[in-house]
Amino acid sequence: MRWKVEDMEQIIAMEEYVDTLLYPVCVSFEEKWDENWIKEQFWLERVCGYTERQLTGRLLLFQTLFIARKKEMNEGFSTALIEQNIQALIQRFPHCIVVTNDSTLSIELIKKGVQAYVISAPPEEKTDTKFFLEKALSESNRVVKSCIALWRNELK
Amino acid sequence: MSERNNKGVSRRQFLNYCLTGVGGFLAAGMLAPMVKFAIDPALQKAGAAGGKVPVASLSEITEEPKSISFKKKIVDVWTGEQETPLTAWIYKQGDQVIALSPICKHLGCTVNWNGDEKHKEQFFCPCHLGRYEKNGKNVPGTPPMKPLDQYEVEVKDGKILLGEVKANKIAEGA
Repeated sequence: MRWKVEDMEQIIAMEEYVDTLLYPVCVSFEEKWDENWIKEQFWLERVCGYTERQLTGRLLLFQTLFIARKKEMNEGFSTALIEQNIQALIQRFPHCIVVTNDSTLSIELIKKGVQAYVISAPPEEKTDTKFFLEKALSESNRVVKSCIALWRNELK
Repeated sequence: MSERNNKGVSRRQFLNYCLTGVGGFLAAGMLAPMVKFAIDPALQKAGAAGGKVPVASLSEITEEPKSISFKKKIVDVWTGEQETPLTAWIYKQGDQVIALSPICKHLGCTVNWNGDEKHKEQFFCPCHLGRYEKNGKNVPGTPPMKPLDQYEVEVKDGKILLGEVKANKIAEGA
């Protein structure tokens, strides 16, 4: 998921075509540091990675934002931070879609006019199984459809 | 002096042994990579980087292109050999099985069969509206300048095996 120099060179070369930002936001409510933190982030990044592969020529996968929050805390601060990042990049990327595991955050973002997609829960299967691959591809296909819908709205 | 030489190894013999040993060692060093290069394909396992992998049964393929996902070991300079998910659009054309790469030749997005309602029976790229015919030939006037690549295909015991991605030959009618 870390940006590599070659990837960035490729993106810069395609600058006039890449107009969409895919922004993964992973929220964790677990108060105990355990494997669930990693599991959620891994699943989110895997799905976003497959989405990027399908839409390489038009979409840039942004670095994941990781938020640790207690359940009783308000998501206002997180929403404001994401909004600020998107606003700073809007000139370069007119389209942005946030992919998150937190439905509450997604509702708040949509209220503020930000496109957001809530990812399904990570599968229980091991990451090297065919089932895991198929589920990740199927989930990424849904994100792809959301991106295409975003572009179609632009054409209307 | 001559009595002592008869019992042990002479200086001449010792030098001969040394030269033979060093010469043999150098020759082995040069020949080993050549032998390995010659027999390497025979030693490769299915699914290893560069080998063919089974992806589907022949019975599940029709004349309508079907998207098949599979994993293949690909060598990456950062992570070494690792399993990477790939996809192919596979269909039958008479007795022949065709497998096309879904990677658009414009900027690398993934194309879909019948992805555009206005242009049926074509592959469609949603990123910049590129289009291809069923055989992978790029439709003139749309962004891609080349046909979709095709996979090396082998049918063995009712299974379809895919190998490396090559330049499209069927679009040229070859």
